[in-house]
Amino acid sequence: MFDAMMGGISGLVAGFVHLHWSNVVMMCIGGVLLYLGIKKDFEPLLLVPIGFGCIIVNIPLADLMEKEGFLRIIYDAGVITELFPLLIFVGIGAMTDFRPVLENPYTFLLGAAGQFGIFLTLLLALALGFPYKDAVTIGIIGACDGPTVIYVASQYAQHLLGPVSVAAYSYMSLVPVLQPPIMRVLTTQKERVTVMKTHQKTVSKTTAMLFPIIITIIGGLIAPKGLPLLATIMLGNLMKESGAVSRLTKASENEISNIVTLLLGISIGATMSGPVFVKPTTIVILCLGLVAICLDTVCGVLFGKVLYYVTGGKVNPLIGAAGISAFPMSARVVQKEGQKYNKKNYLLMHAMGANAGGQVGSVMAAAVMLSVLKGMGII
Amino acid sequence: MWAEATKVASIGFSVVFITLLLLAISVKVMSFFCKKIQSRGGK
Repeated sequence: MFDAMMGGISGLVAGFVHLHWSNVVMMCIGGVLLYLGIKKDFEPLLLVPIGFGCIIVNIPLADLMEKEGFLRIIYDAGVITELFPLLIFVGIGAMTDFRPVLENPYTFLLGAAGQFGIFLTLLLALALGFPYKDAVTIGIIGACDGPTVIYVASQYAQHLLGPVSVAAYSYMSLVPVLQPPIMRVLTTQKERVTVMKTHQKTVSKTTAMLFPIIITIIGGLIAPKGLPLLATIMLGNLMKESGAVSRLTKASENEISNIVTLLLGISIGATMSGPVFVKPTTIVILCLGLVAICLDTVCGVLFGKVLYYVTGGKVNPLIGAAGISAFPMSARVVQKEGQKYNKKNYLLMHAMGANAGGQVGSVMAAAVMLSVLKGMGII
Repeated sequence: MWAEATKVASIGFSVVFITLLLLAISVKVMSFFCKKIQSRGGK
């Protein structure tokens, strides 16, 4: 009788007995993510499920990520198969307006410059001794685009999925804090006050509809390995621009995006189990991710400066900072910074062009990583 | 190692830049033809 009672009690405390210190650390990190999402409004749609997933996966003996665990089933169904990021991309495409980039196609180049940090970080990661596939995955944090990062990580380095996703989403939400000091340091007062003319060019419906088709064909031919990323974002955009399938567009923007975001968030949180996550490597990855996003901004602004001099002072270099993929957050940051120095300056539409270019640029950078490295026989 | 890493990074970035340049040119050409077709339709 006594033994049975003791057995029952030991069953009740087994969870506490098996609690490793790294599980406690991760529960605290999960709590911080929840705090940032709920109280500070930093990417709450993702940080809340990620934070909660992180807490529950660190409760011992629940076996949520074991073979039959519900988190393992969701993870295998959507992350391993790369379905979740692709479904989210259909929603992003349906929500993104590419008209600013159609009005000023040169802003595509700012979107390219904004991806330079990815490749510099790839170099840094290799220098620090990361294997090629891990280095590529770390570098892609610089894409500043959660689904792209998850897609590349699930192809190349599934063991890094947790740290790189958390880094990508956290730094995306910190764009308004990270970018302005870099923009100020790299530009002069004269450059910052540059007023850019707003040409209200009209983009016809045909042009807007042909855009996703042309981009998919050309981009797909150049980097076929990245076609799933490019095709899904462009499919979403084609549905939106055609207006023929408004039910599908609305479903992609709302229901599908919401459900997949929830499942994706909780699966990412599920990869953050203490013994796997609490390592010095994770800190290095988080630091490299920060470097990647800062370098993207540096290169974007420097390319903006090049355009400023090439055009004889017609382009405000600040818009280069919007060449990253954090859409539309970085465009808003540019607008705010521009107005700080010149109240008559309206950079939003130009910055939105660079930002939309950055959206395509980040997808292309991932596609190039997948195709070029394969073509070079490295991966 | 460094030589290969630099090669990968430089080739990768060049391909991204050239691709986006190509896309920018394609968009410009596409917009030109769309305008041309529309103006013909208007007449």
